[in-house]
Amino acid sequence: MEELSHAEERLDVDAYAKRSPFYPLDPRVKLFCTVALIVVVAVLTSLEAVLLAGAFLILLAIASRIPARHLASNFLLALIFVVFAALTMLLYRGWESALIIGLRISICVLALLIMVSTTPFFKMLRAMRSLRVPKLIASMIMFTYRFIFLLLDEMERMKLARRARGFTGGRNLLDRSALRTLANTIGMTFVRANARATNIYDALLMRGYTGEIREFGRLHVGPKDVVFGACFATVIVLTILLETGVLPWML
Amino acid sequence: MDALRLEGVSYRYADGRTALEDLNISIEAGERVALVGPNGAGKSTLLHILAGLFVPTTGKMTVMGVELNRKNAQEVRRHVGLMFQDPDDQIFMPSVWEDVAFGPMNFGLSEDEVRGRVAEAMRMTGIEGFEERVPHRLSLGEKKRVAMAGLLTMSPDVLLLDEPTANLDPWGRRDFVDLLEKRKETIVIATHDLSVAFHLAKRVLVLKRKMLYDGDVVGLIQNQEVLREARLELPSFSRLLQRWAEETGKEFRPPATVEEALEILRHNYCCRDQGAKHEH
Repeated sequence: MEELSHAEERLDVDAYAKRSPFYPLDPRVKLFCTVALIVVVAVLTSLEAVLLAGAFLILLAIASRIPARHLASNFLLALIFVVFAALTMLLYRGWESALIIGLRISICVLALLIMVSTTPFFKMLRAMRSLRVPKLIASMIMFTYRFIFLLLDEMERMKLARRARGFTGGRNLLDRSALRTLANTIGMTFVRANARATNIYDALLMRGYTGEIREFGRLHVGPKDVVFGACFATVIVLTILLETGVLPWML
Repeated sequence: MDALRLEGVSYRYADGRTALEDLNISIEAGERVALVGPNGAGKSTLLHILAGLFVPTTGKMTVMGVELNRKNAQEVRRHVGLMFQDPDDQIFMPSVWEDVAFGPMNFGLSEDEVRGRVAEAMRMTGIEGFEERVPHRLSLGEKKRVAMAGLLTMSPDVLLLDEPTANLDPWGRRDFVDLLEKRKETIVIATHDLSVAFHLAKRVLVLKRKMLYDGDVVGLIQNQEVLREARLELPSFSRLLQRWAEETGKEFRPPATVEEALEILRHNYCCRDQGAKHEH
């Protein structure tokens, strides 16, 4: 595999997929299990149940062999939302609620990160389609991913052009001239990206694209998928039992 | 049989700008045609119409006998491969193999058929061994080859190429011209580079919203009015020999290719014998 720069590594969702032992698993199983776990975690109110789900995901992250640095750098992108939600709860409901909401969001983000990092992007889109996700949604996700790189390329070119013509970023955060330049840059980035997007869509049409994601090989649920699904099911059942207070009663 | 046929084709953009006016063109199957003209002449718009991406505002366009309308655009596109000027517009998938296979997979071909076509297209375009490479880290010349391989896997009857040699280094340009020279499909090449146009095509269409010229290369070279109107510049060897003819009073038509220029020099200057030796 070619060497990846840190920035590329973070944006390339397929960077580690093929190295992971979870790579050969049926993407539908991974997607279904992840969504099921997220739905359950999203409604948990018991700290014990949240910690159980969190511990399971940490073990899953270790088993996935995705570098911790990759997971951490992507997790940082979501950290602001975690902190914002936790602070809000801290102000209105106290520290325990803040901790629970922070952990819940973190667990959901980590679950998604493990799934997307261990599943090639187009396999995941295919899994979404086979689980009846509308064609339009799958296409929008595909285009969004492709256009992130285009937007970044365009912004990088415009940043260089600004610098080449003496723009240094303004004297302070409220420098109106600098803000106007940045606003124009953002506007122009979208105009250019739109033109580029039209070309890409035309190129896709020329190559027979109809909105369907096609790949060779039939998706097949095997014994490893069953074990993977059973692990998720066990954790989900245990968290529900903990949440409802049934597990301590049983013990 | 005409591979492409335009009758009275005009195209107007949604904002009211007229891009093309009353074009009548027929291109035979297997013919190689160069499409030249100044910036904004409508070359890319014409290629988009020929590719079935735009439907003419007025007039009729047929590709391999199929008349383009809003309902059958997809059928028309199966006959045509369009190579965009910027290969980044065209290359979409995370690996070279997947990108080259994208078209035939969308056409629902069997796995064996797709694998065979991809291997053949990659061999023809000289990108064997690139299967697992990440496209956005290739050089421009390599990207153009990947884009070309992606077109060839679909076995189109017509290849439409928008500035295929633009921004390539001299060797990359030469390699790409060699690649195109071997193709048997009907080819329309939009370019500013007249040396490439003259090398690859015998027929030239000069466009400036309307058709300024439709004929052979020799006629265009001698038509200063069209060259000026379309802001075209003959290749440097051609201009050199034109100037030489003016200064020496010798009469010959300006050459279209380096080989023709060499022949003129051998014929009119002192090295006829040396030329013969060189050929041997």
